[in-house]
Amino acid sequence: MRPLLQVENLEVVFPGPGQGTPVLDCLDLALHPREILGLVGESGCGKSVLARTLLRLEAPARIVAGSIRLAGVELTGRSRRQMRSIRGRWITLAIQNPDGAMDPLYPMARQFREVYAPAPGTFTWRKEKTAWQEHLFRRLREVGIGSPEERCRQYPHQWSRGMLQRAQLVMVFAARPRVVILDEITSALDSTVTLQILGLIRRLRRQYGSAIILITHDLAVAGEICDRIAVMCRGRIVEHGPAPEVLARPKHPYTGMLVDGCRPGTDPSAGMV
Amino acid sequence: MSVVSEPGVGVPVLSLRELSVLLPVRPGDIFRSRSVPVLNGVSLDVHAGEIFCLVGESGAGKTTLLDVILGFCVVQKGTIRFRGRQVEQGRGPGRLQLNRNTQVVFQDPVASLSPFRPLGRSIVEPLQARGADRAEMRKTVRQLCRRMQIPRSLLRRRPSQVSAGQAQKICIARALSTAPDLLLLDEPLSALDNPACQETTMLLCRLQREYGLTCLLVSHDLRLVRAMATTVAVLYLGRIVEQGPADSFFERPAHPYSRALLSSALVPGLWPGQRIVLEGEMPSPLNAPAGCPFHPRCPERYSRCSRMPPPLRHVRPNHFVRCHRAGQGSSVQTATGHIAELECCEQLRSSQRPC
Amino acid sequence: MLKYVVRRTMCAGIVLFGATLLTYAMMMLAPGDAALEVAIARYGGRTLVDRDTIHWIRKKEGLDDPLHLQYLHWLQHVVRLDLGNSLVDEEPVLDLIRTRLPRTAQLAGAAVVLSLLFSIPVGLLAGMRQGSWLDSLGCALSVVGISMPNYWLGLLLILVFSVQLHWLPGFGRGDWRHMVLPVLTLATALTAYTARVLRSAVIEALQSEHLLALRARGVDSRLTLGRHVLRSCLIPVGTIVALEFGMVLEGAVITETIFAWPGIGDLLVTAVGNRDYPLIQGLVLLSATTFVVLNLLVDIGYCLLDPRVSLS
Repeated sequence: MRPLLQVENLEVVFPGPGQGTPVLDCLDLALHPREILGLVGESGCGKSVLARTLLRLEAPARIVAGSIRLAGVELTGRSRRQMRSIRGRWITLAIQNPDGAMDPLYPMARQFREVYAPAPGTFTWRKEKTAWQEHLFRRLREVGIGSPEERCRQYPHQWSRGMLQRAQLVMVFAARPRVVILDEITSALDSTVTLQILGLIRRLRRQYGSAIILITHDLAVAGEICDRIAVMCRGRIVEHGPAPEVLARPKHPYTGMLVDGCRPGTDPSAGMV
Repeated sequence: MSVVSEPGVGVPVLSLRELSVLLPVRPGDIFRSRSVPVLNGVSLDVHAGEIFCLVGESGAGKTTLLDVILGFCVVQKGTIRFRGRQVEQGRGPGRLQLNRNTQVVFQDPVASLSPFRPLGRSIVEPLQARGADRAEMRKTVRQLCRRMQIPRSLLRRRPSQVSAGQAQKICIARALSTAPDLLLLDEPLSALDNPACQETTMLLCRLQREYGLTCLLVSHDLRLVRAMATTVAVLYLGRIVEQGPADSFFERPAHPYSRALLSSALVPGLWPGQRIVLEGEMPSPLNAPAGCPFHPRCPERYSRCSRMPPPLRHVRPNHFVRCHRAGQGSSVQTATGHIAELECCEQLRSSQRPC
Repeated sequence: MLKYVVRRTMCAGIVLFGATLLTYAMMMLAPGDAALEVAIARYGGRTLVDRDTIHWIRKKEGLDDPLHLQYLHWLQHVVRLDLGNSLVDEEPVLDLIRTRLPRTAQLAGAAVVLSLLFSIPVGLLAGMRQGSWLDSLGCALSVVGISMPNYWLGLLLILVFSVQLHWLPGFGRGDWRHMVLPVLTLATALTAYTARVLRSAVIEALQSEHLLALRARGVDSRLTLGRHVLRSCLIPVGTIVALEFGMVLEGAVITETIFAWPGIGDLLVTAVGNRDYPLIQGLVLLSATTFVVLNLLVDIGYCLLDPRVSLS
């Protein structure tokens, strides 16, 4: 099956002295339709920069080489106006910090409206107001946010982190995108809430048929719902394969180290660092 | 009935009884016209050489408990005893003794180190505060570096120049520099990456064995708790809902919340059964549910749970739980995946000392 | 909200009391004989006063009494909203203020409006084009604007536009042409300051996480993003503008003196020179009240503009 998203030899640098500081180095990645791909790596390996680059929001970093092909369409050369129509409908991103994802000065209803209502400025959107609101409330109830009519009148600081993360998921899936990138969305949440969100991601994939890239530093989280796992280290993918295989028989020593880190309790008499 | 260990094991290093901390509903409300309990009747004992782990999610009250022990938070009810001596509110000899003999390892290592001092000087900060002389400080640093295998080159750097794992090592060294009676650890691994977590866990286990440390560890990371704990207590909305020896807790957790926590930890081998997914989130103390605080999310709730707060029950030696279901002979799934019957409460009680 | 306003008003009373007490103490400590200065101002020259007149003034105005008595005496009148009479003109202080205040308000209002007209585009452009030559130019101009003392600028403008070029009148009050130079003097520092604040606010807003999240979700129209950015800039800029009215009052003292504009600032300078205590106290009270009210408005504004802020 041809991959939906194909990244080849991607090189991204941060502006700096000389050629700049390389962040992504000959990175290859493939995402197939309807699959959940786990992108695992420690902080600083470039996962978030990759996520933003796939959406062409990499500024101030710069793409110096490589290609990103989404459903056969090359993204690296696209202008801002062209990317505007691609983002949201074809590819989207949800960020780690649920508080940061929402504008603290607007009520939640307004922020949902920006994503859900048909383009404002046209004369039709006022008439259809009740229709999109009903649609939104239904979506919110589906993800487990009770009494959405009341909740939407509140501001982001009045919602809990788990709820904000769910709201972000609702917004991100609003336009039924083909590719969804989730950047460490469970890292800031409690473990019981993480489990809820992981279940929700699985459900949303079933409902919308999107392909998902789940970025995380925790291999255990990736192992929970991902079909395939790609391990990232210092700007390149060092290993990738079906999730059970990568977890059970890691080939690269870095992957092996990550897998060991997941195991419970350690033998205290084992050798020291 | 209180959650205390058997007498005759020596005076506990730290002893909390019926600790209650209230927070006013409106901030700045000095008359506290309406307050909600952030900690509600918390009792625990930490014995010498024991690692007592307090497990809970955000909002359960773990940070408040540490604040209370360190004296940053006013207590409305309850007592704190350190080595048998009562610790007063405000400055007093008991409080002074506790603070002098307790050290803390905080969550964010880089933030808890002074950015103006090289790391070597940070290690001896507590000693310096006590007026130790240079020779003693140098000797302590040498010993600690040898014990913890800290390279000398690290001592000259500043906190911003090292990784979080290395910084946390320095913080642990700093905490051990005065040979404290009690070590408080506040989520020591949450700012570290997985490999650094593993290293630090091994280090803490080894140091605890070598120094015979008494620790109170607060964490939501069950990997660390499994590696280190001798006793585990689970905190939910300001109350301890389960407490018991680590082996007993991980083998057969008695409270539905504990089971959900183990299941959601995503640690292979810790919960091989089916995942337990709870509904909703921990409510805030402002909206504490009536009866059992966990009942709105509990997969095993029944009518009584919403009406009456659950009593404290023994389920095994030294293992207590606050749940209506416990000791009713109900079927519960254990960590090993076997379906087992909980022993009848009467049978248990007769084999233990009266509470 | 009402309780908060009441509480702040009570605190304000203490502030005003403190301000007038401090002013009174400073006036008392100032060298020179108060009665002598008043006599000179009243009768027009040192040669025209004699010892008896000075003595008579001293007795009449109670300048002989112990300090605390004089202050209490004044306080008693103030609570009845009687600010007393000027020692020089013997006119009620309230009337003097009433006549002069609108003239200063004219200058102040025009200065603030002019500053906004220039600072908003400059600040927005500099923030949006951070690092470009536009940004550098804007920052350089801001530094120059903030650094120029307004007495120097005022004199320079008079020299150039009035003395050399004869385009605009250099002093006094009359038609709109008399307002140009003083308003320019006042507005320069304001513009520079506001532009810098707006630039920082815009840069911060453009780098914020929620803007990235918005664009990632496909909400990428310039209009929507612009609305988000401007809304977050509203709070810092609104605060600055509100406090600018207070800053303008300070600046007005020097500017009015230079341009001989018959406003509050000019009145204050004259009063201090003449040791005209009731008038000075009245003007200080006015200043302090203005600042207190402005601060209260700013705090309430914060609460209204930012939903995360509550008044407790």
